[in-house]
Amino acid sequence: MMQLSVGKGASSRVMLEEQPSREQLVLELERLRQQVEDLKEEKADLEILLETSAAHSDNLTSELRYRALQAVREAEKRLAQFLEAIPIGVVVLDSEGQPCYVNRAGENLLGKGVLPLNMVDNLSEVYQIYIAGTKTIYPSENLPIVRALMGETSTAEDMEVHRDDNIIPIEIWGTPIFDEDGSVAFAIAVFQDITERKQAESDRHKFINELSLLNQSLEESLDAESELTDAYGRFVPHQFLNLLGYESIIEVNLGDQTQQEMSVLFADIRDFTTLSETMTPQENFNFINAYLSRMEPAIARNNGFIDKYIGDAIMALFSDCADDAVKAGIAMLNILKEYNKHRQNVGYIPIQIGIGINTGSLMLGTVGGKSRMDSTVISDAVNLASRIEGLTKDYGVPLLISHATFEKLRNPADYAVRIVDKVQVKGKSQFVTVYEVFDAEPEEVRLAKLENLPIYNEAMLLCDRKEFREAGKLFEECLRNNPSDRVARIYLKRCRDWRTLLKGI
Amino acid sequence: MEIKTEKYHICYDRETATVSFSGSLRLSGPEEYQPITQLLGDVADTQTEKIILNLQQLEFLNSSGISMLSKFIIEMRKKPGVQMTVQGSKSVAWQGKSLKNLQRLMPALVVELV
Repeated sequence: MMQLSVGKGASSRVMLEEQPSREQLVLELERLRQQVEDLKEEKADLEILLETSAAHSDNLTSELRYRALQAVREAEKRLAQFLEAIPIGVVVLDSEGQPCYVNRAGENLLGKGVLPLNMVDNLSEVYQIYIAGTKTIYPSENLPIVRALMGETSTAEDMEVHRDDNIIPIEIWGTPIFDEDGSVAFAIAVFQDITERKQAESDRHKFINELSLLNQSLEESLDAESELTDAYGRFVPHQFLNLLGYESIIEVNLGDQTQQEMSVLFADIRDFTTLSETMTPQENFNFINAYLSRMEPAIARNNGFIDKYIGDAIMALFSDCADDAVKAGIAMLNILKEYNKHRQNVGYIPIQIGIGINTGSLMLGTVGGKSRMDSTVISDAVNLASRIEGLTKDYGVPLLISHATFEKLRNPADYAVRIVDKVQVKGKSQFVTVYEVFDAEPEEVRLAKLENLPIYNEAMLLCDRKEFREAGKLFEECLRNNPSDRVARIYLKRCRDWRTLLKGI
Repeated sequence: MEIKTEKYHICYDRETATVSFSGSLRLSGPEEYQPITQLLGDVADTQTEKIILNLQQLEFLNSSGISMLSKFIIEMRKKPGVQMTVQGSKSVAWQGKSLKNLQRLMPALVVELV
């Protein structure tokens, strides 16, 4: 091939040397012209190819760009849809503090959307945010969204949005959004209406207050009731109600009654009428109350209670044991000694009292009509106690007890006791022995009586046997040891009287 | 004759003398397009009356791809007896302009845009 081409070249050189023929030139020209045409066509094809490629490339580029933008817009739109659909307010500030987004819930709450700000300090004022419960604009620098601009995450619920016609308490969370360099790109805040919660809180406070008021008035009522209970207890003794089986006077019915063995104590001021005549009514009451208030504790301390006051007289009941009544009587006399010292010190005359105690079966109950009712005790035992009390005057001794009481004493030897008399119970044939309890007598009197006790008892026994001569001698002996013994003196006189009487017969 | 990948599918129907393209063609340079060039060449060797290129399902074609098509059109110009038709879709954005350009290479080319 190479060979051939060289040959061809050599031959054309030969032809050139030999002058090429005209036909040959025309052919050569035609060949060249064809080559030029081919080249032209190729050039045109290449140009078209280039243009087609470039145009195609441009098309694709713009198409891709369009699609990319479309995709971005789609994503933004979706994100915006999400934000719009959130039922709580969302506000976004750019890094300069300018509002750049407020969602629908936010706009509804604030009553405003994105507004341009002169400076971020105006935020509270522009959106009318106030410190809760005041007319003071909320300090913008404390707003969680402004703090978010500083890179802080915070919450607050001490603020309100003031609208034309109403005030909406809100709760807000602020948080920063950082860019790649770690500086704040956006500040985002979400907030919600907490009217309902605040309402619930204030309702709760109100209920608590109401409850505590109720509680207070309940306590007051209870106090009043307990005062009332104390008050009526001063008129109707609680113990009396308890004996009837009740807690409160409210439960008591007319005719309620109970029967039980008890000791009855009667105490009376001797010659009170005479004393009373020398005093004004006011002085009378002052005196009686001074006296009774001193005696009352002696009874209460010994498990008794005062059934009633009858003028200056006290009637007390002891449901536990006879010892209580006797101890109360002794205690009253000891208190009286102190009281008399005081009376003498201030120039008053001392007083004397007589106490009678009996033990027996008592009926306690309520008596009266529809409108007036009282508690009362019905018993012969009460009458006897009263009679025994009366005897104290005759014998000049302060404390006498019945045989029934004496018998019920747990240990009679604990007391200084001696027989004084036998009394006939009214309307009954039997006699009841009466004893003197002299524990409260002045020391020398008590010791003297104790010393005389065997002789005294012997004398009483002889008296009983109507051996008045021997009895009288013994009473005389007693009186030699203790001249102040009024009982012995009375019996000595009786013995002499009986002897005189017997002699006369 | 058929070329099928995950991205695109090219198949030839001898009865209708149609080469159908679908999917996206993003091959880089003439080397990677060589199998397709080969396929088209083979089709051109067997068909003496007409060849239809159906691009309606071809969603994307890059610049090397359009070059490949253009060169095929130029080749076919040397066979004036064969009627060339390119079918495109108006809903595929690139096809409108670029397929029209192919007519500049072959004025006898029929471009059908559906």
